[in-house]
Amino acid sequence: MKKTLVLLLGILLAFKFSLSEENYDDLIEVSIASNVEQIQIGGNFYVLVKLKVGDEWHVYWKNPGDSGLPTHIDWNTPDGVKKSGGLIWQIPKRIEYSGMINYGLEGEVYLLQKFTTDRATKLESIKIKADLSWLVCKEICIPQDESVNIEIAVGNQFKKSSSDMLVNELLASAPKSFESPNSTFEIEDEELSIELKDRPKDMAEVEDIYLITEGVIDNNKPVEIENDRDEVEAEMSVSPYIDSTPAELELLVLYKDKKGKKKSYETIINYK
Amino acid sequence: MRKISILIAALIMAASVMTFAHEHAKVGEKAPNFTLKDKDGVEHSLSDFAGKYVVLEWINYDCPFVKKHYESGNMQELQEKYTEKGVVWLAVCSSAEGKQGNFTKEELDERQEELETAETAYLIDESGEVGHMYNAKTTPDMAVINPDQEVIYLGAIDNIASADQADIEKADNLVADALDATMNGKVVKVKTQKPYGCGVKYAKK
Repeated sequence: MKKTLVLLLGILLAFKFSLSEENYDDLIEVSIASNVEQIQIGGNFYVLVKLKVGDEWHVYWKNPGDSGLPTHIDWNTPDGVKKSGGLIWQIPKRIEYSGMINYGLEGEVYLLQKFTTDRATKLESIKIKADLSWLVCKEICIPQDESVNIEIAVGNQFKKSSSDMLVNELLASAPKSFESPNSTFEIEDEELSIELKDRPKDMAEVEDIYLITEGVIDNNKPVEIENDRDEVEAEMSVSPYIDSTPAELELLVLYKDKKGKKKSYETIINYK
Repeated sequence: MRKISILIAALIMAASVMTFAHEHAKVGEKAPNFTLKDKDGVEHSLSDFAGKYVVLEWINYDCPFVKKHYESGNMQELQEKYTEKGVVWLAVCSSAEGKQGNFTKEELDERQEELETAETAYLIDESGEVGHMYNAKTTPDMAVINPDQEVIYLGAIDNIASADQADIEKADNLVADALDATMNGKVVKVKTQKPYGCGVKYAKK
């Protein structure tokens, strides 16, 4: 009788627990890959981290917008293997919630990092560990972290991996880096005005601009863009949290090329 | 004549609505007044606290960023330290009914006893009107108001945006910096910083 009561109590407790505690551990599935299976020392390669985000949830871009936190990776690499350039992000989506705008990534989220190897290094293989942390949100937000590892063989020749094609596709669609020495911005009467005087040769029309620099604009207000023959002008409302005018702004510019294909570039512009 | 009177009345009404719509907190300007009930149903107006420093803290006990500052004891330490110095500390909850962070009085009593919170009052802003007035985006999001009822700081609690308790010690607490500076007759160096945290769970418009 006592055993039956204990068993019954156990079942009731388990039932209560399953009702009150949602399990968020499987919200994001993380995996790691490279474009190469084997490399020659002295060469470059890419490491790709994939976050498969649960339906209707999102993680954050490098500028998260009004709330949230950017997804972050700390890379652990052996001596002689170094990061080359910053993390390569996909183009974010504006996510509206409760009157706020966030810049997020949904579904299959890919983060790419280029690495170089020093010719003087002697390694039998390259072991890389990526320590990830992210905030995943829908109506509520959950901070999570996970570490993933990859080992790449070292040999006399490069051997492509099965992820090579995906890495190439992601690189092709990722924003390019573009120099804008003549483009400027100014802030006056709570308005940010941007003048893009440098433009990629194939550019037909700028369609959208995201600020990579955080906290400068009011994300809720529209981005107004005017495409003229010689330059592109954009106007945005300034954030109420701006304390001083930054010396430079980092932008992601989305444009249509002369064949109508959607392209993008990242650039830095200076204060006028 | 009647038409003109109606027109004048309409213009006056439009002007008053516009004034209200544009009443948003800004650093260096008069803090917009408001009246809210606390969790026990007692009304508090910001103007009641003229002559005192006031801190507004946007709150949602289930937000991981709020947990960071409460489970570490950081927020309670600030509340205790400054209320002992005469500062009025108002926690404001702008979570709409049915949304995360919107608790019953009984739930709040339990949470606050467990966390040993030390705010002056916990105010309920279910409509989100006061949250929007102060442009509160996240929990936590902070405002510091001086005895002349001018806003002297708006934004993040500190300058390291993370949900990690270990970052509290490394960060500059911008609310404490603003209060310490102004209470000692010094200039507040950082007057605003983009807040970080969970989005405020406002009612849908």
